[in-house]
Amino acid sequence: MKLEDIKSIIGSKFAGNIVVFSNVGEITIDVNKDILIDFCKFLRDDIKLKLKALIDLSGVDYLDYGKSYWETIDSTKEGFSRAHKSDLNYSLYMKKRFCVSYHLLSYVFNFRVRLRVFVDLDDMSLPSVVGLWPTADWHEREAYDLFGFIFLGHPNLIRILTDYGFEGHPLRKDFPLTGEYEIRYDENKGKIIREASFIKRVINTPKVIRRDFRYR
Amino acid sequence: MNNIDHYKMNFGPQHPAAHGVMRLVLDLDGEVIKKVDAHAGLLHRSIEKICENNLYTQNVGYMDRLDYVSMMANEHSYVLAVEKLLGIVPPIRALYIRTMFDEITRILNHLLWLGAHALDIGAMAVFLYAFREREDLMDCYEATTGGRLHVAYYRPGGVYRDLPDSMPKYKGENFSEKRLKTLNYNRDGSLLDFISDFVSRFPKLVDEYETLLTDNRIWKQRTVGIGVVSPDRAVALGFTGPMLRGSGVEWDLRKKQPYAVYDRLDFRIPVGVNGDCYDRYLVRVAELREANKIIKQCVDWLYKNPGPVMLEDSKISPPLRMDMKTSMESLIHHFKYFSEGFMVPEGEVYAAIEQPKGEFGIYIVSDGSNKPYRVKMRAPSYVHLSAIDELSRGHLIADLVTVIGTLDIVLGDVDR
Repeated sequence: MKLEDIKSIIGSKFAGNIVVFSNVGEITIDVNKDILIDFCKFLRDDIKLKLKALIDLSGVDYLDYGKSYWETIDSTKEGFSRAHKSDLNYSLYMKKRFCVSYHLLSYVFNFRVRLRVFVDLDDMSLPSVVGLWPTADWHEREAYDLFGFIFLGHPNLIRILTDYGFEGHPLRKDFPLTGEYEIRYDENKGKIIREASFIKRVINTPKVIRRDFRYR
Repeated sequence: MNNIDHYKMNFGPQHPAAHGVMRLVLDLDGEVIKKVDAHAGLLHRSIEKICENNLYTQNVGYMDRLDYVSMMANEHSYVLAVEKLLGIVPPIRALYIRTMFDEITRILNHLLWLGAHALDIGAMAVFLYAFREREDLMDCYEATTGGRLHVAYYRPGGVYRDLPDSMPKYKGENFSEKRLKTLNYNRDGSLLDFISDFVSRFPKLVDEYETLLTDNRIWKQRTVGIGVVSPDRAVALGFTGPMLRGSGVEWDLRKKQPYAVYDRLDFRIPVGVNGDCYDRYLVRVAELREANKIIKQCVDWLYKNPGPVMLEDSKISPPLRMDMKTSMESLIHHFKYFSEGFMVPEGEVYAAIEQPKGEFGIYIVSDGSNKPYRVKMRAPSYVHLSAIDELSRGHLIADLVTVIGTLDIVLGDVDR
């Protein structure tokens, strides 16, 4: 299935709200969350597409996208302290802070499509696709757990991977790698207590961006 | 007492039949299961977050720790994704080695599954048989990479070293001379000799497992008609791999979207009919035989065709140690490769392979830096476990163990 074929099948039905492009041979469709359910239903049931399987659903947080650590101010035993530099003002891949990617697969026509829905921090809600693909149940719970997306219409949107009583959404870029809380046994109190983590983050290998287009 | 119609029962987190740390909260009506609430995440290590803070090459080792019984298959998916973004293709010999080790991994995984599944249901002997063969294959891992489980063997651009010319041998005073001779009888030659000896023995060994199980009346009573999934339902639930093929959907990424050298090899895809635990058992046992065939073809090819196993591009593979002694440029490349890594062009990629358990996919978002911006693993076990409620509803508690076994879950994969 080629990019042009997909474009011609989608045609003008959802015109204006949809961007279709391809990168390294993979087709990506950006879609507005207002028409997500209608569009997914179309992809699943259209006789030329038959994307019957939702293979994967994942969230992405674009907060640090395209930012590299560039300036070394000092170097101590805790590693390098580096400032952020953003050399990316606009990218095809980043439109708002958060994105949910759906990976769909058609067993009949043997092709894959990636569907992306962008949302912002002030409104993290988007419609749930559990009604269309039952497998989305746990995927959406995971995306809620790790990023905090609110999937409207999900039957049981509770945390799944993190601990009972966990706070925060660990895969957001502003969540520290070392975590926010530590749990330890306090001998004086005779019970397990939770306190703020004091571990400092050490960056040994700074993130570097160099666009030399060597491999393209 | 008459008011109680449902019992709640905890299954796990420390239950041997749960295959790891998994907690199930069961709603029971007598012994009949009304609802299963699976609590995953007790093994959650947030590998995805860790991967975001590592260089591309450093992440290969973490892939082993996801599904820790099909190690190399996980790595394969990751390196495929990176290679796809970089736009590079490894040398052909590396592809054959990858294919061979993927299939060895498949046998390793299916043997563990077969042994554990049979043990759960009550057949002890199969476990011992299965581990006897696993030991041989683990030795192949060890001879090639130095590790038995977490091998970190694949690299973007190939595999990190060629197959060894000799096999390690048993030695020591604990064994008698006669015993040593039997233990070492197939270890005189190279690794390929050892594998080809294994390949010639293995079909008979599969027959051994099958005599114990396939027509066994107790085995059939415990598996036939348990956890039936219709083909349409299997697709809707996102099943892949043997779980999908057991329901009669002919879908295998090795055939449909070939990667490595699967399009050059001759093998078949076993498919079930009824979609119950017994059919999935048959599919996996047939896959053991097919994997054996694939390994044989790879070994034959590898005998005849020596060559490089890693791309000779110093930007994405480390230079030779020999060159570093004399060449300044190699020294710089070495330093840059291990301190800064390589930049991967901006873009998104999803690469999937047919892992023993199903489709294992890696979704990488790259912003053009030396660290992946986002790595998401599509774990087959996670998807299969999410269907446990549907599969075991209406069955007895004893059948729940069968269903957990047939899902072939590994909690390192589920919880990531």
